[in-house]
Amino acid sequence: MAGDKSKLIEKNPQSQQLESEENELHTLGEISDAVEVSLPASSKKKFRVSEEGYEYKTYLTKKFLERKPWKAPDPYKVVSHIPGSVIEVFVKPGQKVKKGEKMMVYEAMKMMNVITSPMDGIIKEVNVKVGEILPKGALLITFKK
Amino acid sequence: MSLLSKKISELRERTQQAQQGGGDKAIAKQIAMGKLPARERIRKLLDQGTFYEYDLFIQHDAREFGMEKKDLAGDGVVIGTGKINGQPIAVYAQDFTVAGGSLGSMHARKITKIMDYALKMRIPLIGINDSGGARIQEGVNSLAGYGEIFFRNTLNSGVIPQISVILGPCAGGAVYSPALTDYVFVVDKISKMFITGPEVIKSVLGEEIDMESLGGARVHCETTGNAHFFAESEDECFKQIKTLLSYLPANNQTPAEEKKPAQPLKKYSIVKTVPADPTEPYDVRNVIKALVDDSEFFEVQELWAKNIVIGYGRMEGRTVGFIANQPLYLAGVLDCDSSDKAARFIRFCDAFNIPIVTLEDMPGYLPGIDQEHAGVIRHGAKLLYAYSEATVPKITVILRKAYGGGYIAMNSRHLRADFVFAWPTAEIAVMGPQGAANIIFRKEITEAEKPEEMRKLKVKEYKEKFANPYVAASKGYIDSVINPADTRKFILQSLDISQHKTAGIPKKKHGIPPF
Repeated sequence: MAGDKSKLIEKNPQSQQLESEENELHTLGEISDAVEVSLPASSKKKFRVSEEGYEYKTYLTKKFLERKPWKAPDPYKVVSHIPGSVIEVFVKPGQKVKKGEKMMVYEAMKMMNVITSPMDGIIKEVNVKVGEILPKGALLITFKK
Repeated sequence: MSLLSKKISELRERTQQAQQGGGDKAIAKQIAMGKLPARERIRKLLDQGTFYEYDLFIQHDAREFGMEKKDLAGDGVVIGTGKINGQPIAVYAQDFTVAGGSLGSMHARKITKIMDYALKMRIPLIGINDSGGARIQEGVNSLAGYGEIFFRNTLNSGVIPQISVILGPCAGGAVYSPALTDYVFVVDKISKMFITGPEVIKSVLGEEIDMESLGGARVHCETTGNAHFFAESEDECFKQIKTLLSYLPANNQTPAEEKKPAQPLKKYSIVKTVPADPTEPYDVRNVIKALVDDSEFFEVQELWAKNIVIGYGRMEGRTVGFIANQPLYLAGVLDCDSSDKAARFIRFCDAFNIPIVTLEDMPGYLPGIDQEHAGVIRHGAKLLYAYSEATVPKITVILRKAYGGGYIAMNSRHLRADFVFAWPTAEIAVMGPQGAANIIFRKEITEAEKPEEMRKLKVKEYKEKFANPYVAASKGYIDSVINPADTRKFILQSLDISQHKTAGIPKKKHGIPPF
């Protein structure tokens, strides 16, 4: 049944009139028992609509289409939480560190921030060099698993 | 047996029957999940022997889907009044052992009844949430129930403190009652809050996530900012609630209970805490502890937007709300989350007549595409709005950096701070020396024989001329430049002077803050 519905949507003349990918009409379903349905090829997006749930014809916003999928944070990776630059690195690959130990001085917003180890562990890799200017979310140090 | 004693024993039986909740099996299941039964929670939270329960014999009135044959004890919620720290409060607790604590129309009517009591008696309201959601069999009646609760949450807002305690699932529409209340308490592994659960998210969007990562206690304390207090256990959570209430007044007309005045502990020293070098971070909470009675500071939203610290302390026995930039995290910058966090806290303090002390040390607003696109303009404006609108005594101490828009936003004289003090280490200027020198002396620097040396020279010149408190002092924008060791003295004197402060805003229905 869901298949029939999705075909109807694909044939929807309105959606074919719309040229821009962003303005493509999509359907969003709800509730469980989901069936995967391919939407018009031009949209390159797949959405699932429900077997029994309601279907809506709707435009998707740019923000929605460009959203990044959620990823579980990796505890073995230390990333920058603010744009800044690397001033000093105290640790080397293979080094054992204790939780709270100083690993790096990272300058951001006129402040010398000390980056400390989030755990007891062994450094696998130092991913940055002194002097490097980094954006938010850059990988600084990787721990051995 | 006399007729009276017969009637009394019948009452006893009925009471016992109703207080069993969902019965032994359901209660055992609740305990196996690491959760306490509803009445046990109330007993632990309230002062011993002070709880009086109402509406124990309420029956649901659903007549569809076989509901007419079902007997739901108290319709899945316990309501009543009692005392915490000797002060009267109103409380409700959803009983998960009865039909999963699902909300039907009578269940909602009990909750709204106690909410109306709380408002009428002008006493704090505490809601313990542990519910599977709307009772589907009651259809739109259960939605009506939620709506009635949300409406009252809104009316009560700013009149009595409202506290939500999430001790189980709280999903779908149900989350909006906690979201409308002033403080939300969560417990690790027990609290779950979301609008749509992992299964729906997977079926609609194909994104996979487990329940804890989606809406667990930690997520709401660290990432979303929906919750204010994180506890490892229900007992710890109840302790936190008692501590919070000890700082708060019962309503917006009476002051909070005063405690015996006390000195801060000797081990907290302002001079030793704050490095004179403005690039060195430190924990601003230690400054607050060096200022408040007994060095007791009760932090709110400790785990979210850590670049700003908010919370309560007492000075000479009276409750004071503190807002402080935290150089230890993100250099203490203002951003979307920290503006939201501080703005809401200011509005709570203002509504309940709690004076606000602001400790300022921040380099400005956080630059970045993600911040701009997340609407830092709109969020940052909330902070300006909240400070400007607040009429409680407002005192600012500038410890080190006070740059640019952040200087204005952090309760500056221009937003009607009552008292503004600065330490000699304060740097009050339109922007940092590096950036400012590059703009003002662009020509001199580029045309110099050795541009780099000229730049350094000009940065130094700017620093000496402007990165200090005396320019602002010469304009009267700050009242005094003070010795850091005298900070408590100055704040106490200012609070004392402001006791009968009279200030107002133009008469209006309400303002329109940039929500």
